[in-house]
Amino acid sequence: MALLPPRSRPGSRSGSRPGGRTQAGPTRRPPRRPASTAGMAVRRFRAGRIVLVLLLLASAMQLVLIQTVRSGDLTASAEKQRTTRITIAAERGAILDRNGNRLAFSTESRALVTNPRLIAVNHKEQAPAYKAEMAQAVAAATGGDPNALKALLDADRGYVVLTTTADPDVARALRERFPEIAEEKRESRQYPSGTLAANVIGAASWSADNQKLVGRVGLESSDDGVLAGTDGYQVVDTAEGSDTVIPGSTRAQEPAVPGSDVELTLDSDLQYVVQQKLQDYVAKTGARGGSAVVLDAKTGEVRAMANGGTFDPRQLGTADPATLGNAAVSSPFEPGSVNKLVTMAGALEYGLATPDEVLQVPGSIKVADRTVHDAWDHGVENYTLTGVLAKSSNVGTIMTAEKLGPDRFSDMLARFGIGQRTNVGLPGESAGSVPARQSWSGSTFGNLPIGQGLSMTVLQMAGMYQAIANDGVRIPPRIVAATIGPDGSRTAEPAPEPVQVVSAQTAAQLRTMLTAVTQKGTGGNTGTGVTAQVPGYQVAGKTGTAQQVDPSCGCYASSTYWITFAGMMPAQDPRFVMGIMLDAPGGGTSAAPLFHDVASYLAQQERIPVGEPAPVQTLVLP
Amino acid sequence: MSAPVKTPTRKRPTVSVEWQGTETRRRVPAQRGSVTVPAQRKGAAKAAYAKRDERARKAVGAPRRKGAQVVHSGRPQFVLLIMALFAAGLVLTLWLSTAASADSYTLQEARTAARDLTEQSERLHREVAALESAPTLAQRAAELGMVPVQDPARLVVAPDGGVTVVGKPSAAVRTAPPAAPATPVNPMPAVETGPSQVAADAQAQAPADPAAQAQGTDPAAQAQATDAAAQAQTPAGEQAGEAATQAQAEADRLAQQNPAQPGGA
Repeated sequence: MALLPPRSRPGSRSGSRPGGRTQAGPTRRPPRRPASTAGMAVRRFRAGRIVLVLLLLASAMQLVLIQTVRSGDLTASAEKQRTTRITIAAERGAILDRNGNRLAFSTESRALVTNPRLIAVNHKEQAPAYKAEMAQAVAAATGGDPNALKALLDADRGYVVLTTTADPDVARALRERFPEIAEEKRESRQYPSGTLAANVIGAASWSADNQKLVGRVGLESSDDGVLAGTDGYQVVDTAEGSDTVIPGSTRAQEPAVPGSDVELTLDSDLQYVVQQKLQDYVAKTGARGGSAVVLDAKTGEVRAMANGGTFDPRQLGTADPATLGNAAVSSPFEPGSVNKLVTMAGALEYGLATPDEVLQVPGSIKVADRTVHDAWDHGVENYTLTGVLAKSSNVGTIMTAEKLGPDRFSDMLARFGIGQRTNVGLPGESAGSVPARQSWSGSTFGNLPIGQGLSMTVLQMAGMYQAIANDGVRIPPRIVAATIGPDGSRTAEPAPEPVQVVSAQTAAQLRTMLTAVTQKGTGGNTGTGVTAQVPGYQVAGKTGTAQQVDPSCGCYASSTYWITFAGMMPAQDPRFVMGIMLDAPGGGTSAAPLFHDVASYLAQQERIPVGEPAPVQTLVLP
Repeated sequence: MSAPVKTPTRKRPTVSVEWQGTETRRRVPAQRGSVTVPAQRKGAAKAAYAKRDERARKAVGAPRRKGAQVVHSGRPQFVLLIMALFAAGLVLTLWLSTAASADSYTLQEARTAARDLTEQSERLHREVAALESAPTLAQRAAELGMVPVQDPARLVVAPDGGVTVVGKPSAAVRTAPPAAPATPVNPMPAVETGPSQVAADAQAQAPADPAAQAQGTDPAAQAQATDAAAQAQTPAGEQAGEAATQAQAEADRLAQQNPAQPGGA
């Protein structure tokens, strides 16, 4: 309705010439529209139009400025204000034993933190009572020490961590009860078996810098890349000043890839027995330490690996740093008579001797400038080659080694893997040391055959005997069986390259000779390792005693020894190979009883069939 | 210029009058069409009037060229239809949003339940892992009084059925301080290996008879025999109580019988 009146306006037709019309016909002008008002309106209209145009221009300029010139900066800062990159933590993979028992795995947990100063402000004079209540509740829910928590809360600090391992539901309940408590998301590493295989597995702990679990020791550290997985992320917009995600604002998303599980070749039951027995034995004999390794004779897989000292990965912070390593692969020692196997293997392999060949062995032998004695005084005795090994005669061994010659001996050492890393898959592995063939002096060849002047790890020592147990084929030991991806796909570790050390026939002869070590005969026909015997089974093995180097004089000490034993059972068809080393135990200690204890367990556990008793071999002839 | 100027001047009052009353307004288009545009008008003016009429017609509303009754009967129906549609839409929207928020509560509850169950499952897994670990099993077995076996004797059955005992059977020795109950012994070797094990087994299984039980827990039985009724609390105690009168007499007799069993304790 309001549209029509302008139509009736006189200016509608003559508006193009307002001035002329007002002058021409002022009388005909409608009384409501005086001329002066119209003129002012026109001027105002013009001015207004100019102002509007200017404003429009200014706006246009600003628009151009914002949309083009400053567009990049503004977009960036706007995004910065809104955009939040949220990291999606990847769950760390588990470590399993060969039967799928979890030795290490992760669970979700919460760290509970609070601000004691804020509590003091909020609760004024009730603060001490409130803090005591909080300490009691947190301690009851998480198993902490209420007094320690109370002390934390009483400190004049702005941030204290009450616990790092609260379960999510426990944390939620506590936070609802005490609004001052805040949660922080954590991943907690569980070691349900405690010290079991701790030196192999190692430990992982929370890293505040990376906001994730990081392997610190052992396999957790060396296989961190496999276990850790890849964190995902989510780029979203959040409401300013809070973590509230604006729905539908997800701009980029990458799901987390959980870490892979690592399956070990260890058998946790056997590991427990070996570890327990070794630690008991070390304590009983007063040794500084010790290591033991059990290998599968056919595959070279490590079934158990234990050390005298160990730690609890659940209390990594308070663990003695000396116990964190894995001496079984990282600490080489001089093996002693265990190394006589190399000489015997060479002599049999090259046809230089037979097991029942008789040697006239004197009480001592001169090698270059040194004289080597047997461990016991004797005149010239008629030992068989088996007797030399079983009685552990240094002189007889050196006589045989001289027949073999240093070059073939050196070659044989290399074939047994001495002086080379086994690449078992554990961090900090030592290769041991064997003097280079060129650097051998005259007396070197009087030391090496009897296991002095060279060093090896327990694992290498067990590896030597594994070759004999497996018909002369040495399979470098491995401890990681497979990795299991997050999708459940199992990727077996590549099989190591086998090494043919000696022929199957030589290996069989050696096994028979080694059973003489544990035989109990009459008239001097008793070996040095009788205590390793397991009733019903043939045990083949070798004892060893090596003098330790006294650091004060740089000479061999006369009272501290490395006591070793390496052996296999049952000798007819070996299933397991074990290497044991005790570091400086009390005098007269042998490692053979420990072998017996573990071998007896293995026989029961693995249901190894009972076999014929070993034939009694002649060690010494009248 | 003069003629067109005059014409509107003369006509203007008519137009303004028309606009003062609604009744005249209705007739505007018709009047204009017939009255204000005479045939003798020139082209430009004619076009201008036509335009103005057109504007007026637009402002007033749709021209009523056809039967007014059709228009009157159709419009309310249409409006009602639209209103009904709107109402239906409103109801639907309300219903959907209510359903959505109700579902969101259900979803929230389901999520909470799922989270709780996940946490519970994680906790149970952890407990299972801890309880099935070798050290815990060993410890619990020891608490039950079990002892690891060292060098058990084994029976080797020859193809002809002959049985050979390999190893020397011996009772496992418990090193821990609390006195071990009868060591669980495999009955098979016991049967084969004879006296000592058989005796141990026989004794372990023998006390089914309350009197024998009373004899087994000799000092307790005697104490209860003195004031039997008062102390009869446990089943064993009750049995002992019932047997109390006989206990002391039979105890001696059983004590004499026991050594008669082969290779007694």
